[in-house]
Amino acid sequence: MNRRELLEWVSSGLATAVATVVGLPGVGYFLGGAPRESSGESQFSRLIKVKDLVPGRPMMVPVMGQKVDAWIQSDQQAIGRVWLVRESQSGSTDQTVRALSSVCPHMGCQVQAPSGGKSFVCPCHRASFGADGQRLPDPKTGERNHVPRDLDELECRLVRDDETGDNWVEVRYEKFKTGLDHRVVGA
Amino acid sequence: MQSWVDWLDLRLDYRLIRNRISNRILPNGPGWVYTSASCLLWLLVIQCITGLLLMATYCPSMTSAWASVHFIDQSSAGRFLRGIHHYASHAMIILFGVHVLRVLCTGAYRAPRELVWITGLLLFPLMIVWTVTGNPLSVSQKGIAQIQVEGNILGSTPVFGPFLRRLLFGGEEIGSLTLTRLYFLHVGLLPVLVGGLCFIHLQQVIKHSPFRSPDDIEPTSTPELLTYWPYQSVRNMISLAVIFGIISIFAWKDGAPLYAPADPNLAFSPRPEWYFRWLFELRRYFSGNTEFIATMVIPSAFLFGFMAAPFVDRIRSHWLAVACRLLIVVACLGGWSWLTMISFLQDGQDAEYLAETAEFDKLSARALELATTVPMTDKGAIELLRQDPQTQGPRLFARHCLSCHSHSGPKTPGLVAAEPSAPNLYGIGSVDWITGFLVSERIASGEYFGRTKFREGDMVQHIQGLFADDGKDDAAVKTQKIHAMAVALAVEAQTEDGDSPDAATGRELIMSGGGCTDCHRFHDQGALGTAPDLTGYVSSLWLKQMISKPSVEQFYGERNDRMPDFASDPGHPELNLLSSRELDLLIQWLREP
Repeated sequence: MNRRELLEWVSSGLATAVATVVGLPGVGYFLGGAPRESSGESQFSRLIKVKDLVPGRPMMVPVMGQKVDAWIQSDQQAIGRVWLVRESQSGSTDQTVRALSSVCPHMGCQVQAPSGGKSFVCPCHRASFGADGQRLPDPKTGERNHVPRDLDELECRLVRDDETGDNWVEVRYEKFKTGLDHRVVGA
Repeated sequence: MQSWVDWLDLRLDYRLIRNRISNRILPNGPGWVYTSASCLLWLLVIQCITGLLLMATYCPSMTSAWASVHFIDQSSAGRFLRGIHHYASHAMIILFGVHVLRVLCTGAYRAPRELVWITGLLLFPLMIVWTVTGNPLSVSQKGIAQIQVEGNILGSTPVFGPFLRRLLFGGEEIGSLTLTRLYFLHVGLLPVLVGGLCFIHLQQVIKHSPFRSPDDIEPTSTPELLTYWPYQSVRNMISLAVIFGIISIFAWKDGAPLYAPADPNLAFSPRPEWYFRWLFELRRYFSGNTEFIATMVIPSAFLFGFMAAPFVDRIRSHWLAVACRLLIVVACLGGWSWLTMISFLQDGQDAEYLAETAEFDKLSARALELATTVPMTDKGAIELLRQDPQTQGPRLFARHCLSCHSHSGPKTPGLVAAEPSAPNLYGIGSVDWITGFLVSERIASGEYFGRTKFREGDMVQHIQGLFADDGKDDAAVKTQKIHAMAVALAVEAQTEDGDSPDAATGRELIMSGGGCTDCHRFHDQGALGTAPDLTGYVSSLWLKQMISKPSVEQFYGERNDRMPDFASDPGHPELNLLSSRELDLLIQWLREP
């Protein structure tokens, strides 16, 4: 190595070093900048009294909880919404309630229940679902449903409040990744 | 003067640069087909200037963005500038398409101009991302719903998708960081990338153009040898003036749209902008895990296919080459138009979608109206519609009341219960609505008690008894008395003035002749426990207490039919069906729909 080569090598090396010192944190800044992932198991949230649900009529209920939005943390915010369907008739003693996530597994839009209807429709790409969340072909055109999986059913239990004697619907709210044909926890 | 200019030229060499630019000679001489490039460049400059001006007022925060955009629109100059920025972005996409097709038609990508072509094509997706990151900046429901879907499309790309989505959203979900990221892309990263590519693009264009020495004599006899300045420039400026004129008219007349503020409680059917409609339609032919073929693979294949053109196009025969290029142009244009048209036609035939869009336009108009009449709080524009009884009333009613009660009348014809089983609440508190309880045909009808368990109750029988022909009063007098009682109750509801003679007569009748206080309490007459309290009847406070817990002594007690307690537990507001604020909104709307 002659003197000239050495100086070339030193110049390029120093320039690369400076660029790396700026560049590496630059990459890390974007990688690490994501807010904290919610840790631990999701909890059951108490949503509504069973008697306030009309059998066969889906009802959208917000799930309240703590919401972390980048640098803002707020309590008692709607962290998600669930569709509750009470399946038994009002007279019957056995009360089953089905809880479906309102997030469409396709692109993450909010699934709607047209008034009076017993099925669900996602307004984004007009996908239909049955009352149990199963994908249905387009009722108008018969076109097959392009959503990768059925609506996500959430763990749901009925809890009796001994003080008041009311039966409450409790749901373990979770978010699942969209666009996949199987469920993966995560937004 | 001359010496100054010379001094400057000696240092900057600007004459040489100007000469290379303005004395260029175009392949077939100046022509209108070459104007698309220049128009794009000048529109880009206009976008940068208007964008920079908007940045002086816009605030990239989830709570303030909508309000700051609305603030910009409050001055006619701001509204005009934002309008230019909006419509020029659409014009640029059209022009970009025209420009690419023009270059393709004339085969101008051939050696040595490969880099002009490639940098130009790379600018296209950047331009699209530029507009896509601009649309949600106002934090409108439409913009946020669009970026939500666009982010999820990005996220469903195999391998890198989820990572890129997290980069774009600044986390797993849309939030404050998302807006900052979009802003960073829109006003920071993309201008730098586009600027850099534009520099290479223009440097290559100029480098590969022949130019004339300034000392040459003007070749008036051969138009092909006319210089860029002013023979091409004048055409460019005429085209630009026409395009910018159209943009200005739109900007001045309509301004840029500002849709209702984003609110996760609002349902919305997002549709992409017109230039993405073909992808929206194409997506329908794929499903689930293969959708990225439509949204990513096909567009990328087009882009790289086009980029390869200079290296693939080795066809010697001039006419064959022209025919091939024309075929590609026609196929692309045709496919694009076909898919776009199908998508719009399908939405145009979808009654539900049209109704929803109309509803959303009404919401947007209402938000704009509220923004100028109601003070904007530090919680931001989201509260405008959330605190508006006119907007929230029908929603709360449809969600909580419509399973039993209708609210059908001239102003809300659509709020009809599928199986009404309780009184129609339209006009609650008005003299006419109250009169209905005092007229035997009306109280027994489905509009009042006809479908409740009170259908044959004491109240209905009492009213029917009052109407029985007992020979005391004739019909006209009875109607008069009923009217007076209804007025007196409307005074309780605070919808009528208490000083009228009717009200005084009515109060008298309620307490004595009408027999009401046999069951109802009315001020200091009668007792609770047998029928709802008539003191303050259907006033805001009465309604709030009644809806909160109808099964108390003051209202229906144990005789309550099926009405649920909507806010029975003041200690745990989160477990109530309706919050205090929701009750206020619902009641305010019920009383003044």
